[in-house]
Amino acid sequence: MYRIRNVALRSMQDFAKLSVACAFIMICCRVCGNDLTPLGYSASGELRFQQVLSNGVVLYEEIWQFTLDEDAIGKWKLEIYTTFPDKSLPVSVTNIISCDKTNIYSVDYSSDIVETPIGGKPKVVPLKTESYAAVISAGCYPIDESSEVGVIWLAFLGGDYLDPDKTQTRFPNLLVPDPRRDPRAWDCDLKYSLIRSTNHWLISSGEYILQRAYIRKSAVDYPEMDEPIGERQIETFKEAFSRYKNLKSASTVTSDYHLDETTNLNGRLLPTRFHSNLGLEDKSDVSDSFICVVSNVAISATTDLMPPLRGTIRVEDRRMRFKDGRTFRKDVTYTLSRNVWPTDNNDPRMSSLTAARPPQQIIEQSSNPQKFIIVKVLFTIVLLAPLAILVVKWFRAKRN
Amino acid sequence: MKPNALIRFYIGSAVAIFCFSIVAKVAAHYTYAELRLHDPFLRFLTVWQLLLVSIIIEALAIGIISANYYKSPNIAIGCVLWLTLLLILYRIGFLFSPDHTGTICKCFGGPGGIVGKFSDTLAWLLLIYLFILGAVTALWSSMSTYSRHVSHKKCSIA
Repeated sequence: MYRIRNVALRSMQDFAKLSVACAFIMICCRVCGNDLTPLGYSASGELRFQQVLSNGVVLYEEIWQFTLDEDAIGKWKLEIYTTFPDKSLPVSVTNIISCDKTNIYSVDYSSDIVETPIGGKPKVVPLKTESYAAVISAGCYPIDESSEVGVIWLAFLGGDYLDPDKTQTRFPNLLVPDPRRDPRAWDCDLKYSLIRSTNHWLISSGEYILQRAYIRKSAVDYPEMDEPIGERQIETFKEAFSRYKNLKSASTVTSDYHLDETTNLNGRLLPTRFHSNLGLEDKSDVSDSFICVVSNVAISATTDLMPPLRGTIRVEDRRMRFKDGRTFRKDVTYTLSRNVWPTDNNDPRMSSLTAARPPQQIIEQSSNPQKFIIVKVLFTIVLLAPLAILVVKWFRAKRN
Repeated sequence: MKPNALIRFYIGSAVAIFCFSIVAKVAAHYTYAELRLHDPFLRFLTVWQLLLVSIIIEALAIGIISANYYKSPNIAIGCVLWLTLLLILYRIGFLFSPDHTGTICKCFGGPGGIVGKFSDTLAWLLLIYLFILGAVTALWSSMSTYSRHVSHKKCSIA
């Protein structure tokens, strides 16, 4: 009994010592700045896209101001602000994109719109009603956004989606302007090197290599690609597929990414300067690149990272996408009834909306509808009718 | 044979409509990239080629209609009806085509052309007018020809 009491006492003493030691280590870490409790951050800066000729002349330039917030558990919000590149059309748009680790929610806010009257010049028109467009996509890759969002995502967040034990893997190329319509987004390997930053990873350099062997026949073979609508899009898609398929080399570097400078915020490395070169497969005189400078980085304790909602929000919900090789549904559209994002993927209201919009037959696969063939036959008969009448008349005249 | 007022009006308006259609087609925006695409209904032709073919067909039809205006109004009416039916069937086929992208942008210059965004509606209205009035006129014309034929027979028997 005495022995058991001694063992228990010793265990309690060991536990007390261990607790004191842990508290001491935590205090030391806080004093040194290496906080073990993860904190969020907020980074803001300027992203510049440039098209430059080989002689250094800038052909085109577009600038975005952005603020990226990431919380302790990896949810993030990117606010990206741009003005219309045409200076005669002073329209500014704020795009707010958030990821709750399940879906991506995106909304565009602007006080004016650019309207192009039929046969006329584009002009700036104030928004008559507070109505804005939003997109919800499944997953955490911003594939429904353009390349400016893709490059920021790659710099700050992309490293956490890569395996540190590998140096090359097939990875969505978010540096293409429209991943839903460009097979390059899905046919690339990313050759990369990472830098460790506490329990996060940053990409220090990366190269997107288009692998000819990955390229399939059409968009039907790509689950994340949209199907073309109308002949113009079908031809554009076909052209893109044949262009990539006919690349001379089996592997072609299409774009790269370089982390130039970082800063240490509370033990976590964050990019402060990075750049990316685009269209490297194109051997023309024009080179496209993104250059980003982060001007402000701060610790942030913000927890609500969903995009704020105002006015009437028209949602294109791409969580209900469907593609099975024969049929395709791009999205389900609706207006938000309450000013709350529909974050629940199993919301019963979504089922009824989905049922109301069944997937459509993919155009390339569609057989000629019966009505179309009937009209074609009728058209041919009517077209040739005068000829038939003339022939009959000629025979009658010959007989008489 | 001198055509009566209704037939004269119908043939005259048809010629005017087809002339307007030719002018609109000639004035179409030939720089549009869409014109290089294949037509959704007549897939063996590009939109640009179809515009050219339809201009030629309409011009030939106007020639035949004008030549038969006094000589044989029935042939003129038949020609108008034939061209109208052809254009109506083309438009229906375009709507049923699996490749069609929305509005027809060829006739009457299309959006941005000389009529603008109402070109499609206007084209449908004119074609319906030409078809319905054409059918009525053709019926009337053939009935009057038949009654003339019967009275001529009666006269010759008497």
